[in-house]
Amino acid sequence: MTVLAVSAAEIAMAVRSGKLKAANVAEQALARVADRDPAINAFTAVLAERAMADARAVDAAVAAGRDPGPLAGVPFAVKNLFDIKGVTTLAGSTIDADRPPAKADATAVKRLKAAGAVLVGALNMDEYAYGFSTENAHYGPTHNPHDPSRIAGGSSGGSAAAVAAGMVPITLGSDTNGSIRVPAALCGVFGLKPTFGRLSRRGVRPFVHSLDHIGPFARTARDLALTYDALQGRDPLDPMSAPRPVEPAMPKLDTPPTGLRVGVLCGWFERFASAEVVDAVWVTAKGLGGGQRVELEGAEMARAAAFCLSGAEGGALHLASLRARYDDFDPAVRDRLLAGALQPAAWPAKAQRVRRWFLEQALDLFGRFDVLLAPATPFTAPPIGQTSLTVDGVELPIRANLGLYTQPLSFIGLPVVAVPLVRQGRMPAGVQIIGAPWREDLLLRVAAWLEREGVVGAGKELVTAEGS
Amino acid sequence: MTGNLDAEIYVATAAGMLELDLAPVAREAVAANLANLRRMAGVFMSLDLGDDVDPAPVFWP
Repeated sequence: MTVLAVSAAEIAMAVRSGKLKAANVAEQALARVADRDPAINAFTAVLAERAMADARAVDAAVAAGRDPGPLAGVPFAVKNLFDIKGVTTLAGSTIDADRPPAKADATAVKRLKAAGAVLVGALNMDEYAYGFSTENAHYGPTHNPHDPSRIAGGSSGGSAAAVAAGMVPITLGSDTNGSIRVPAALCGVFGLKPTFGRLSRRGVRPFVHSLDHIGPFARTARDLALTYDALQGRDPLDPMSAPRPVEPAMPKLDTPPTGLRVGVLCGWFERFASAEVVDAVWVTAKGLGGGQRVELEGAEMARAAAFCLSGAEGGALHLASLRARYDDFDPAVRDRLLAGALQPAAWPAKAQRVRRWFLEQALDLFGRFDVLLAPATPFTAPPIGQTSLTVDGVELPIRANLGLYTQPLSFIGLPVVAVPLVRQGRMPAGVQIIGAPWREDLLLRVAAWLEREGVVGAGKELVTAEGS
Repeated sequence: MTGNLDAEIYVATAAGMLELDLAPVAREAVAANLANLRRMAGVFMSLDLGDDVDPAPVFWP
């Protein structure tokens, strides 16, 4: 059995104690990627030389009696939106492939390296992060490891698929309207979208400055918490980095969350929901001792406002390329960016005020509940290339509707952990565990508790299976 | 939101304002996306907000 069948936490413990060499782990990860990725297409770059050099540095630290860090020897990969020193940041495009290589690692990459983790490569995504499916017109679709004929979700599809397929135990992605939570749900892994401003975005190509977040994926809640803690801390180089102290989740991760007041979001968060995802939410609520149905007023307006704001800021950001490199875009992305740039200014201006108003509605709910639950997506992963599907007799465009339940929440920057329910013979479903601002610690405790109780989990079959 | 709107004329005019040289064949797809945005804006533009509701800031002053 490969060492990658165990968690990041177990790898780090073994490397720190000297029982395992980081170089050996890196070799196994690289071999695993070479073996599995042709069928998945999660990676756009594999950095074997850098990985081995970093791994040997970790081993040297251990041999010298220095602390190699809490993620010592853990292989990781990042969405190709993150700067990696010496590598061109593609952002899922061919236009950006003409840019010079990044001069430095993104802050998040630096912090994971400082924690001892070993960067293995860069991961596929929707072009400029404007999508929910990672059906990339230039680099091909990323395939869902549970059923390669189906999408991995997006826009951080490569990040979710690489973890689900057991190629690396942790990855980084970004989430503007759902791009961590959607692929985490469809691929059956854990994903964290933290509070807006919690984690540094320095060195990460923007999509929507007002809404972009970064966050980790992992196969266990513990690995998610370990990675989150290593990423925390105000970054003076990121103007949106919040003036918050490091608030580690690990110290109380195993404390059972007793006396929780759980709300299950209904109304908008049931709209077009398939029976599978509704069931997943209530199974999760039952695991927490039950939940009360509650409506979050304004969710539909928030989603619509996020839609307009994303188009406006994304369109404005890419205006120069839209003028000069029109034919080099994915047409589906291009036409949305153009429309976004052309909309009347009054729409995104009003959207920013709706954001303030909707945040007040949500904060009012957190006066009555500790956590809220909602499906991550309206349905499980559809086939690659399918453009619409019928839910409750209504034909829905797939791409536009995958983010129905995620968009209102990222619009107001609430922290969310997406937890997976992987059940035999069925595609995974994901549930959003939503918290008040800055309460990632509570969400991770809840996720860890649910995992220990067997209510949620990523399953082991894909990781322990040998060969592609 | 009511009233007829020739979206393609709007797209051509607005694109010109931004010095975007859109081929006529492209205008239709962009107009379709703009129609979608218009539908979305219709969901929240009529929300009555008091003057005390500030925009959510993009930066920390």
